[in-house]
Amino acid sequence: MISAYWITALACLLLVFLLYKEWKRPLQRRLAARWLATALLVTSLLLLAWPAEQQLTGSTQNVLLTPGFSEDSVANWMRQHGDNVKMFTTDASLLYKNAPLPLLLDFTTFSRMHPHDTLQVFGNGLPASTWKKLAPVPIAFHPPADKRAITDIFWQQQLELGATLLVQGNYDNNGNTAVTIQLDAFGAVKDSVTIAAGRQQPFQLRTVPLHSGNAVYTLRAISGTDTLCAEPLPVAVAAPAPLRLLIISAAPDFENTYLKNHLAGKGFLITMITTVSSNKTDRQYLNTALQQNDPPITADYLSGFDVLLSDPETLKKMNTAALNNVRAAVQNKGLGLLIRMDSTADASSFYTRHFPLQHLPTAAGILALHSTTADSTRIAIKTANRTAIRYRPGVKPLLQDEPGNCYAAAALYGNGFVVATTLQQTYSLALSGNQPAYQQLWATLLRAAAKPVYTEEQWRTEPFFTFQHAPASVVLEKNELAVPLARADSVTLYLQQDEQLPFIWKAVYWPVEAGWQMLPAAQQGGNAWYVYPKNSWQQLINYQHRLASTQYAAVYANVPATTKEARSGWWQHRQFWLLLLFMACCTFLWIEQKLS
Amino acid sequence: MEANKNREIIEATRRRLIRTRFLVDAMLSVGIGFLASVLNQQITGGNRLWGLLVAFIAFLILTALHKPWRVSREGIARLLDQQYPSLQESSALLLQSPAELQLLEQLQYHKVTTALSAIQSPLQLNRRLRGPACWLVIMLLAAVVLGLLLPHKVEVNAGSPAKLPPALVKQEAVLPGISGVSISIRPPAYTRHPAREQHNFSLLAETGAVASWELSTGAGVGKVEFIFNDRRHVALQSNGKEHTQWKLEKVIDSTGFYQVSIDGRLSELYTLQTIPDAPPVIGIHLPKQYTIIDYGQPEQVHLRASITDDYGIKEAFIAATIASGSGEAVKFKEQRIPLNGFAPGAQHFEAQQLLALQKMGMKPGDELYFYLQATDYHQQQTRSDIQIVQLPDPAQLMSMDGLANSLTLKPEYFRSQRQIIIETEQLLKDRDTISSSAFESKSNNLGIDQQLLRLRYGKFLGDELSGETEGADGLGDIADFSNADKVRDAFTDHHDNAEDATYLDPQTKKQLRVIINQMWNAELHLRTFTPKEALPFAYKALRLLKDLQQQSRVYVAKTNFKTTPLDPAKRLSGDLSKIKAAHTQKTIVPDTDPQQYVREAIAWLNSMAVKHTPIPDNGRLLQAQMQLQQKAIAQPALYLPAVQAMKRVVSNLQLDQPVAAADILLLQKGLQSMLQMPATLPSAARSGTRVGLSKQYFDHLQQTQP
Repeated sequence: MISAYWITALACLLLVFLLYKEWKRPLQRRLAARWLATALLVTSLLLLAWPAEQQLTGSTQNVLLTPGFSEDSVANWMRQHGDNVKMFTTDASLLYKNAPLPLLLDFTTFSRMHPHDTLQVFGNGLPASTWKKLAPVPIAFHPPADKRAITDIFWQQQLELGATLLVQGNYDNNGNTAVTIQLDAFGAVKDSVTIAAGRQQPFQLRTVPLHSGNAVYTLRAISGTDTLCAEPLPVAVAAPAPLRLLIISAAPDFENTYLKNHLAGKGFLITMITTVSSNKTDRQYLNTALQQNDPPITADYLSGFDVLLSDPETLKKMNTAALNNVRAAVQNKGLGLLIRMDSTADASSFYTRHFPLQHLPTAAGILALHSTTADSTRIAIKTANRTAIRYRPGVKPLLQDEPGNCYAAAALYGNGFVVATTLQQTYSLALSGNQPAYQQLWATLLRAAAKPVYTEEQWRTEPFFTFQHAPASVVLEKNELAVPLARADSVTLYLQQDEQLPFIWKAVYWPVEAGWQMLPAAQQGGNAWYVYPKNSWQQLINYQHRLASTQYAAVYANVPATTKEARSGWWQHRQFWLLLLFMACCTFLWIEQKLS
Repeated sequence: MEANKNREIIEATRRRLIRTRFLVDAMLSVGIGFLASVLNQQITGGNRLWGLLVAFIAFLILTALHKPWRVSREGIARLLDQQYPSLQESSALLLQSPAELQLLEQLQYHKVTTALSAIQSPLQLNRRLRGPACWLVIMLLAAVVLGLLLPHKVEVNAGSPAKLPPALVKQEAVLPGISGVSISIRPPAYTRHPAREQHNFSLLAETGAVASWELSTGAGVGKVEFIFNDRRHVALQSNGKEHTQWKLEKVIDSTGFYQVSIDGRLSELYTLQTIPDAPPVIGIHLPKQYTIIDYGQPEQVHLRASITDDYGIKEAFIAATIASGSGEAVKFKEQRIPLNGFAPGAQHFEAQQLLALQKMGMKPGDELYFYLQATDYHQQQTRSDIQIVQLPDPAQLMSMDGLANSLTLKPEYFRSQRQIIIETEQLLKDRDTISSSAFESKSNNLGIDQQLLRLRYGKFLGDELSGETEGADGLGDIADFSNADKVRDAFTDHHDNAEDATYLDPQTKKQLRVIINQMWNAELHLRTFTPKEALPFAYKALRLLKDLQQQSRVYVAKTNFKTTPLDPAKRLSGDLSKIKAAHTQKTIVPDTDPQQYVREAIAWLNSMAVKHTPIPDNGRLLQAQMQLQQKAIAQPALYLPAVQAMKRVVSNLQLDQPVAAADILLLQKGLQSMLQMPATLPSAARSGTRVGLSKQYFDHLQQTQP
């Protein structure tokens, strides 16, 4: 602003001086032309030197203050651009210089009234949904300086006892000091990670929850001794339902026997059919009812199991009808088929064709395996047999050693999974005292194979974070056509069917209280639902508002599009024209002086 | 006048030189003293004042060596002559009176006087201080660097009594009625710790220490008692009529906690921690657990062991038992052998001892069993594992007993090895009476015999070896793993195939291989005419053969037993139709997680912290409380705060009052630290509702891509 005044003043002085010199010249010819040329010369020089982005002073500007704005930055802006501004806010609790501001609530009307007036937005901005309503209004976004925040976060809220809780996220540390992110459970730090100053990087925290039931952990971001945020992290842990397992083998072996005894001891429902001699089988029913008449392997019989554990030799010797039933059960009903591979496996059968074997050089000693799904799982098994499964597209490796050889893999077959492993004598793990590794190994294999549990109806909420005193979408997936009703406390919710997907029903519910509560339809499912306290996860929300605002500001820039079009043509090349005018004036004055 | 002035200059120079020399010695001594002081403190942990003494001694030594006072005027004159050519080697003249000088000398005298007066600060004594000053700086710097680098030695008092960790000492709330407490702890005498006194309730004492509490209450109270571990009430005795002084004495023999009750008012819980006395630890490094002293080896055993105890070993010895004879005539002789150099009271003892077997009365064929036993002052005994030393009897090896009774088939060439030994011994006896060529040819012949014997075994074993890969070891073939047929083949007998009948089991073959190695060595020595060296190998081969023979001996009692006559028609027909298939049904009660209640309680407490909820009626909080108390008795320092918090939480809940968040956090922390990792169990994934949409999609895919 000051520079503009100075330039104008200097130009005026120059003009007066030049005009005076022209007037006082001894030869008084063409005075008017020379004065005109001098005036044009100084004007063109002035316009060339004029600050390019000079705002038109005097017009009123709209300023929107959103949560997180700093009074200093607003005052600083007003010093540069004049204080003829009209201030609004979206949050009634925000004050500017200790005075309340007018609320801007009707965004649609505002956008109709000021389609081309640039809106100066201070603070963290507004959510994307609000920007949609404001759509053509151009904005200039002034985000706050401290942008340290957890920008993304995910964890599994419902876990099974013994499963690992994995918290994954992203942290933007634009500050000058390192920030430690830690996971607290019941007053003890479970895991932590440090983000260096000036870095934006993903983080991962893990722990095995020790509690059973619903609890709230805390995720903290700490810089030095300051706690930047402490956010609730709800975790519900339930004991897993025992699987129903059918083991069929062509000969008795200790591997199956040990596995059977181990799982039966944990309450699993196991039926084991072992061929002991020609046409003689030994049938064991553990935790299940005795069936006297040796039921044949029919589709109906197989539907009572989650996993069938067998080996290629047994399946090869099985009669065709039974094998077809197994195949149909896997393909249509989702029965898991877990195959303990051996060298008799041929590539043609449906259960082995995804798993070509690869014989590695025999090496005695410890085989260190890790799970590809949970990288905390480490299994060191003593074996000389190094037969791996060669990778094929569509096959998911489950257990790999350090060089990447796969020793267990899963392939999708229809609705179910076929899982193959080349590991033999895994019981040696348990017998050598490493019971947890044995449990993890078989948990990995059986979990990959097990028939998924389908519930009659499933409830969920949208979005991931549902806050107290904020609307939450309650979504029901259900196949029946009857109109479902849900009860939340004493309120009955009437659900609306989705137009496109008829099995989806929705309702909007405003939770009154924060904390764990039952999802509206508690009667059937008993799904626990966590409602976050009003001000939790504020940094994440602020970050998302900033992101939405920055994206909106990038699309609807400072200068309205219509004005740009009007000023096309000479305006865009005005510098060139001004220079031309300046040169022309100079040339005229010079030639005139030479000629006279 | 001139003469006086000259003498003064020289005298002043002499005094200054003496002073300088003393100063140099003093500087060096200070440096040495400082260095010694720092080293003394860092290395031995001693007092720094020792440095002063060292500096003084160094100064005395240096001055005695340099003798700085012994500087004469003549010496100064010589020095001046050396240093300043302008004096023309004539400064000695200045010491004389000018009157006594001759003319020439007088002329020179005046010349030198002028030259001397021109010299400013003669001899430049200040320069002499530069070198020592540098040394002083270097030594001071070295002392500082060493002081920083060397680990600081802390004075350790071996018999220091136990001190409570600071975390336990602070923040002890005392009942308002108590005006003072004094607890004197008398550790057991054997710990050699002095008695001590403390004024806070939390105790840390050696096991078996006697603690006596003296409580004074401001006003007279009716009854004061201690409640140990929330169960046992012990009343304190009052000293006077005012009932203000109370006393109790108790032996602290286990960890736990206690609280004070004054007329029914309860204090907070205080810890009672003990430092247990560990029994002695014995480690035997030599000999091996089972040692055989073969023929030819020295009949002695080298014993090397270490014994450690935390307060001192009272007694340690070797308990040895010699078993001689065989069968029913076995006799045992027990001995107690003291350890050489053992003195009671030491905390650590390294035993080094040679056990001479013959001196102990061992004969060939006997066995020695021995172990180390140590006792500490708390009468705790530790015994090491039993070590066995065997002294085989060559005569026994020669016996033919048992050969005829062998049940499983063994190679039948044992006699020959025995024969070779007999003949070798005979040869050694005859050595002096026969010619050397005859001795050599006899030895060589025996070598040939040994070779033949070895070859016969080798052939016998070689036949077997070729078939070994067919045995159980062949299952490791990578290209054909887990083949059930092969497994069956390896572990079953093919009775019907005469060619395939096996004679020797793998274990026997392994042992035979060792025997052949011994025979090789015996043959080597016989062939090189050193039959004496061959004997140990021959004996070892024989002993191993004997072992092989002994292994196969099985005792079968004679019984009256009639077998059912076999029906040849049924035999080997393979008819299994009358054998029923086995059916087993078992319901196994799954081993429940004993900590399940604690897991549930901790989650419930978490929801309590947010919203006050009534106490659950399934007793999980009670169960958690019981488990927590058990833990607190064992580890009061860790779990006592949680027990106290639990008491407050439960009482508040029972009175339906709000619970403090700090209490809940403390309790959760305690409960969490006692929880173990839950077992990982496989489970099915939850896959939402089975909606028709994905099924339709899948069916459609099947139709388009069958």
